[in-house]
Amino acid sequence: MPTQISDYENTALSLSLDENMLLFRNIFSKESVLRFKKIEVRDNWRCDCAIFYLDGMVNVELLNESIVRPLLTVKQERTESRLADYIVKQILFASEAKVTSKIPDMIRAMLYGDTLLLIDGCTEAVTVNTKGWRTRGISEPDDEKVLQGPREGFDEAAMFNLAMIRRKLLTPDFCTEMMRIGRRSDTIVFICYLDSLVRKKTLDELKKRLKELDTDGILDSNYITERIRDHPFSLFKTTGSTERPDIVAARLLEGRIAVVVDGTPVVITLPYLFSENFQSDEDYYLSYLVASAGRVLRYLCFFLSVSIPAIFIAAATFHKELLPTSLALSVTQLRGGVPFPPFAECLLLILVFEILKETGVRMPQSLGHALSIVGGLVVGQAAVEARIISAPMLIVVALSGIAGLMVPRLKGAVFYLRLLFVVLSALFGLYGYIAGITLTLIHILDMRSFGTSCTVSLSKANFQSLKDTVWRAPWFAMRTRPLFNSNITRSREKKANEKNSD
Amino acid sequence: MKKILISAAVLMLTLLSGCRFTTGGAANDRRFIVAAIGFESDGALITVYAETIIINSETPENEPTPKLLKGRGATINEAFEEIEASLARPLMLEHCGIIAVGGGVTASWFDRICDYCLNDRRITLSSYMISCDSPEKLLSKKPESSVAAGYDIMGIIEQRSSSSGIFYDSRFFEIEGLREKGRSVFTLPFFTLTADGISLDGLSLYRDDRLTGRLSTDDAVLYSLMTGNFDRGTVRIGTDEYRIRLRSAEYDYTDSGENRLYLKLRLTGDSLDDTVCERLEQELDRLESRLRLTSGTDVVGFTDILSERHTDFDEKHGRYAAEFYKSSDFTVECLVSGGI
Repeated sequence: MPTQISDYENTALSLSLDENMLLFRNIFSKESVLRFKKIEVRDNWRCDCAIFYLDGMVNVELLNESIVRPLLTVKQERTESRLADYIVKQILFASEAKVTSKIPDMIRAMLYGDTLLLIDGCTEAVTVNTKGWRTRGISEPDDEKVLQGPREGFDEAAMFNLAMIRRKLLTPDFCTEMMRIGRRSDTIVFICYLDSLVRKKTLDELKKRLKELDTDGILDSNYITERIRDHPFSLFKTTGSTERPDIVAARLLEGRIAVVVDGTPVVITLPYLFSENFQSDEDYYLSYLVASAGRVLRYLCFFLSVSIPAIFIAAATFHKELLPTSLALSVTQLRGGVPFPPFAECLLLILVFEILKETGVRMPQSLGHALSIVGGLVVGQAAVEARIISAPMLIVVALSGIAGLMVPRLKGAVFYLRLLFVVLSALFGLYGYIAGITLTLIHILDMRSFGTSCTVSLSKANFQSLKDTVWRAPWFAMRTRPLFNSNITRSREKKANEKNSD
Repeated sequence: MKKILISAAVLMLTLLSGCRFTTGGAANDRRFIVAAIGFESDGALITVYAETIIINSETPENEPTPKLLKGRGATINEAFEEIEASLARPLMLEHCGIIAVGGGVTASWFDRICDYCLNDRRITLSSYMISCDSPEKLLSKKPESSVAAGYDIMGIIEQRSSSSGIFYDSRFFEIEGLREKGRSVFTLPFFTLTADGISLDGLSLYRDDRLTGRLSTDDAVLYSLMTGNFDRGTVRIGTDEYRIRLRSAEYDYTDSGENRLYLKLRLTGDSLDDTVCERLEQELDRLESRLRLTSGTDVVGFTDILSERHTDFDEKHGRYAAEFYKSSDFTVECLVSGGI
């Protein structure tokens, strides 16, 4: 018994409706929601048909109105020589119906919410678009909330997601290419781009990587991301992800590519620049002054988050002269009685902070507040009073943890870098910390995303290349697209001579 | 491979920088913070004082208290070892703010003190060097505004530097810098104990690492004017006080016919006029004469300054600068430049 759709590549329909019905009943023999119905057309011409569909995937009302009723009330004279064509063109009330002779296409269509119409005496079948499965609907993504700007977010249906992107890019230049990935899940994946802006090399590379992808199933875009990204073991992302159609549209306008995966609201965008980690979704909807301030703050917070515990440990353990005398005295006094060295104390606190953070995320919102009070205030204060930890270290780790929350796209990297730098500082002092920072910088500068350097914006120290990195330049100053795009299409504006001719 | 090589290079760089697993890193609370160190000698032996801040780790709620520890030996290291032998934790010299040099410290010991402080990486170069009659008495004084007498002294230096106009900032690296540069003359703030507590009482004059004299606070102002180490402050002439600011100090000399040193001071001040300038010139001249008489050498450091600023002076008189000074007359001129 074949188990995969591709196993039916060499199977064909017979002229007998009963045989074909049996075939499909066998294919879906273990599918309890398979529904089928034989329809005898007896009016103008005599022919038996059968409809097959999966319950819950189709809009039954649409099915009845577009397929069942027209078939039972056929009045038109048959003008088409091919029966299937006649049914599609003259009988069915469906806006989208296809004639196919390939069994895999028929199975895929049914699985995706279409209704299959088998016709007696015909080796072809008709697939009719009757998709009617429920979707979650448009809602604002929890992780990408904005105070100002569009509030819509993707849902799990790729088709609807495509429509949401298309609604923002009303141009035939917007292209989508469909692929199916996953031997068993046969997940639909769309590659979206603006044809005139996309870098062909990047597009080809993406298609190549997607084609090479061999797996059982794709249930989320991350299944693809981890397989196609550059530097798979890096702490830093080399592909972007978003649940917002406006972000995808903006990326496409910069000449990037989006990968929409059916079954998940998370859309992959690429190439991905390191500076995107510090961009917020609403940076582009707020005043550039406010957005730039926020962005600088994010860079600062990233640095603080990974560095503060390490620098404090280095200063408290090796480079005591770094701390101002009054602070050194205060730290010494407050650390009195704490049984652990600063390194162990710091590790313990980082661990506790991560536990609190994780539980806070998983908890229902109503319990989250209670948890933060118990975790943050009660446990923290009690631990300091019991001299298990010292107040300065608690402040340092808490500050580092809170600063890390400013850069949610780097939360994984922040955690690991913080730990790494703390270990290096505890072993080698500031030398270790600086070595860690140097290696991290080397790695960041070395990172590439689909043939583009992740730090390409920093390669030229001029205003235009930095306009959307450390700060967000005003829109009137953002005349060119990011550097990774080809020079021909870099300008966002019409050329001067074109303007004059208008 | 490239990444491995880079990683190895960075690691090697770290290790070769003197950083090892055995750097002896220990938290602050596992050490005794030293606020000040003092040196006194009586010939062959040196006595080292360490004003240590005691924080009991078992009862951290108790206020930290200073304690003066004393060690004696034929070398500074030996004296420090004697101090540390009686301690349950190592000394933490990274926050030592004061290096006090006693009146009995000879030129030879002064040189060794500077060498020790320079070579011991725990002692910060930005510590203040001060002079006093007895470091033991000075550092034993109960602190008033901070946790240790050493930090009180730091506070006094910083406060007086900004209020008096005299650059009392005799940080160790500055003193060492002057010595390395070949300057034979330098000054250290002189501290005494009064009934009210620790007091900054002028400057101690050092020439070739030897204590050659002391200046009262009023004379310290005049001396600072002559050396150019003055910004703005009050000059007392007799019973009158004038608030002045030193704009520039120019040094020159003549050696044709008679040897003469010239000092031209450009001053500003609200109540400055020619009469005041004349009185100031007399005061400066009087001080210079007194210093010349009592020490017999150039304790102002005119020849050092001239050697730095006039290459021809260094060429002609560099080796015989002392003789030039002895045979020269001193002329000072004060010019008024307007408002303060």
